Amino acid sequence: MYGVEERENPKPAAGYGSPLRAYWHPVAAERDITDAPVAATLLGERIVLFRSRGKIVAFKDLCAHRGAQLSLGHLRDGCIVCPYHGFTYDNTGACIYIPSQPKEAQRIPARLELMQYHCDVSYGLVWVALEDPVAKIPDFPEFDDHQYRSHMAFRQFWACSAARFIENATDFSHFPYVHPGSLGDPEHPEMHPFEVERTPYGLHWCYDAQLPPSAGHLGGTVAYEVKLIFPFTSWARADGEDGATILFTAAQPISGGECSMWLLFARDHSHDQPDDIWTKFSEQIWYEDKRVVESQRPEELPVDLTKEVHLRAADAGGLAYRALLEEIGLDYA
Amino acid sequence: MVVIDRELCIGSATCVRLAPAVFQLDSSGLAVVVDPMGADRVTVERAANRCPAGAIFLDETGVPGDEPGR
Repeated sequence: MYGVEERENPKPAAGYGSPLRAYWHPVAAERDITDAPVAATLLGERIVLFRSRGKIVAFKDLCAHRGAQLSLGHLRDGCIVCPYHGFTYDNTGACIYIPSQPKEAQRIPARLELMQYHCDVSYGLVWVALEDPVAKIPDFPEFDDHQYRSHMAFRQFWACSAARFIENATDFSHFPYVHPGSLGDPEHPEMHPFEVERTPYGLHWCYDAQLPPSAGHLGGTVAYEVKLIFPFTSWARADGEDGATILFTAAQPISGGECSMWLLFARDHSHDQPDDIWTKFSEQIWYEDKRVVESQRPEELPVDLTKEVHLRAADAGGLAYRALLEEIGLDYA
Repeated sequence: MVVIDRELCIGSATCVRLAPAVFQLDSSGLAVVVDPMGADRVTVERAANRCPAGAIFLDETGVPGDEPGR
């Protein structure tokens, strides 16, 4: 009998019973929720979002009658109308109208209601928790701070798990190889040891990096401060010669092998410059990351350390992240 | 011969769980060999193969290499 068990039924990140259902995840941009239902997928679950009386609400994207996808329907007076038989639900998920019954003699079955999810808006993003949340929406105080100029840069869909994505977003040792000349210096790939601190929100560390002269507006020595806000958000502050730039990157876990990432910026400098400078630069960086991260196998990050090989200094953040994933009971994320 | 490269060791204690008579963590939280003969070869090889840092080296000839990990 060996001391380390082989897991015959590994517990994945997506699906029913996943502990990740009890965290807030971004699912849409607030500006995209207008006068029609919007579909999104979170942890393998189809959800529908719509705006009703000024508030955005989220439900399971499934009519309680015959299981049709409600997001294919339409809105009428703040209610969602099923595309199949016209069953109409209000913004609490209660069915209020069945077209096949006489209007003046509606008999609404007791179980005819939608499953509602926690839904809130922060930083222009719609956040959803599929179960009672065990943590708050990740903090990004600079986004609404008047000393900073903030903007939402872009959203991308990646063919990898959210954990693979966010580990890459907080990894520095790939810079010289994936981003040579922009974020990393191929002549100086060495990483010095750094301390990873556990915090109530996740993990925190600082790292000073020497960027190559070709790094453009970032330039020179950059002091990075990283908050990995568990499970899938990175708040990274880069202090350079110009000032401080915050990159807020949040990943939406769509399924085990798919995620969507959102990138927001806040900067306390260069307010007279167009936001597009930062957006374009990041598009190139993330493009370089994407082709490598999507090649990783398995698509989901193995929590069991024996499935991969780890370096003590360069992988300190990734090791601590795996420990957090293990603590909530995941084998893959 | 069983050699641990302590520069590579991450202190996961995987080897300790698999072969506690051979490996232990010291006060710095890194693995040390306490008894190379404390388990059969299959068990020690398994510990080496499962080490998440690849820090355990087995020398077939019974003579440790000059520079483990190279």
